[in-house]
Amino acid sequence: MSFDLNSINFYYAAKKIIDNLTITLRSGQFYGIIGPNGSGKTTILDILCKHRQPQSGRVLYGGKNISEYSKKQLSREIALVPQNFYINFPFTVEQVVMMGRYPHMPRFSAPSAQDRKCVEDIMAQTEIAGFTDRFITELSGGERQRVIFARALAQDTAVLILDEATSNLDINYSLSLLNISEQRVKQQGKTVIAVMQDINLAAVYCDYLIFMTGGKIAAHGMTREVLNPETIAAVFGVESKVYAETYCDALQVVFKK
Amino acid sequence: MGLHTIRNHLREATISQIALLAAILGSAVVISTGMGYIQLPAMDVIKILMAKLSGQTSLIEGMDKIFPVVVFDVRLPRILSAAIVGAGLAISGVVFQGILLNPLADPYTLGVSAGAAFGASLAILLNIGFMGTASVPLFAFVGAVGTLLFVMYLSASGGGVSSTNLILSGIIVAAILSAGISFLKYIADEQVSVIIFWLMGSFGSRTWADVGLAFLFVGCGFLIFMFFARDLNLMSLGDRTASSLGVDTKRVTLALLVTASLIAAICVSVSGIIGFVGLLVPHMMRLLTGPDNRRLIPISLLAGAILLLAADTITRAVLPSEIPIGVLTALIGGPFFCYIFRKQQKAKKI
Repeated sequence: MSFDLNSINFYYAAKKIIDNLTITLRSGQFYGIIGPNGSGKTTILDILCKHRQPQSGRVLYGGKNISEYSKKQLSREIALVPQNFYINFPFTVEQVVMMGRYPHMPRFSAPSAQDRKCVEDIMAQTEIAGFTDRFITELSGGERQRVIFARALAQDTAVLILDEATSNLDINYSLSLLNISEQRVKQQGKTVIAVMQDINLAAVYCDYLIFMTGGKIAAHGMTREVLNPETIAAVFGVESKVYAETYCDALQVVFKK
Repeated sequence: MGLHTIRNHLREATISQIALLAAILGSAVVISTGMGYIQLPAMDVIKILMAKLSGQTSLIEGMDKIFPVVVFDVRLPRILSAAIVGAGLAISGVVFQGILLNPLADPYTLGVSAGAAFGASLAILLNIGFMGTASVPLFAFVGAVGTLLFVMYLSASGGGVSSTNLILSGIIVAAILSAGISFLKYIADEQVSVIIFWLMGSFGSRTWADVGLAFLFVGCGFLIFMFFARDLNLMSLGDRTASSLGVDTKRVTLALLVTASLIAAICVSVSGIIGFVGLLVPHMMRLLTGPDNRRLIPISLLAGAILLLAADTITRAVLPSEIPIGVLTALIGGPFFCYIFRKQQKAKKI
């Protein structure tokens, strides 16, 4: 189902974070959100998953106002992989991934065989099956990030939101995470909305790019249409060259130092 | 992997752990009821209990007439209040730690205990007696709840309460209240010993009314905690993640915080200040059973009850003269906590 954001305004105290933003995000696409720090990217994600409510404007999901969905219903539709994940209690890796199944399980029941199978498959797919019984508190930042990604996949939702999900990962796991996400879009028609720092990785995976600055959308559209030196100069204030790279079959950017 | 396998095996064995702890608690109640100035064999205690519960007076024929009185009017109220308060402090500790995302939080952290102590000291100093013996507990309760509300008001920002703000506000308010208590002691003259004794905690001369009150609060609190136990698990992943997994974090935080504080308040008002149970029991049980609150809460409930009952029995029936239980728990619990805390820090350095 698609998102329709209409004239969204969001303030934090007196500071305007999102400024009259309107956009439609269609299902079955890979969206990348790009912009400098403090441009409102994370706030937009929080508004999409109803963690924050805008002071004005409408957010529709599948044509229905997002406020009409209960938290429970939304948790079966939208999964979030946060950045800077931190946990203080020694849950096992398997327990954490299983938490992704909670929205599908009645409050007082144990996981079904189907839940267990789902968790097992996802742990194999994300290459974390090796540390099923390890404690999340004992993992490195990158390992933890992969567990959190697996937890979000276990939630089995139509929409997957990635908030700089690859920022702690080395390149092979970054690619693996993005490959799995892309596979979900191409094969299962799911939607991925990813805030990304690495413009070149975004250019390889995203069907659409949304450039944000100062709480507004500076440019958005298909990657090959919006990714150009003018947009990058307007958003980041740096000089760059954009060229078509056949090796990864995508546009790539190099920057002038 | 050997240690992991053993630990994980322990975690799976929840039902047998609960059964075992429940059996230990049951025996502890019976055995400690028999202990004291008048020694009673365990069989006599069981007979007296059966007779009272079933109404068959034939069971206690031939026994000294004083025995049932000792068991019912003197020992059981004290023993049961110790067990219930231990259970209450332990589960409120679990929940404070879960909400504040801090394994070292307990009723002290939010200033709830200090608030109760201040209320009680005030009642003792002003010699308030309009409610009879219930005055001191009542003032303690009001002090605890008032402190909680003030701490929450202090730490509230636009988007709700954050755990760092809560801990900080709690520490500030507790420091002010401690100074207040010192002042009350300073101006108290002959009442000062009563205040000090109350602050050190005691289960002496508890009544069935205390037992009933504590049971009502701790029992209801336990049910509320169990209802939200799974949500509390998710909240340890952080607010944002918990929210995306369908938890109404503000509502759950508020419900759990208020319930845990009420339990802590009622415990303090029944027994005075008893430290380290709310900190130590959840910590130890988490090592044993893992951090899943659906297991941790019932296990801590039983372990807390056993621990405080044992501690109270030691001060009452084993030591030559009774020492305040709050002092005993702090003297034993404190160093023990230092030991396991240090051990964990070492393990982390690998």
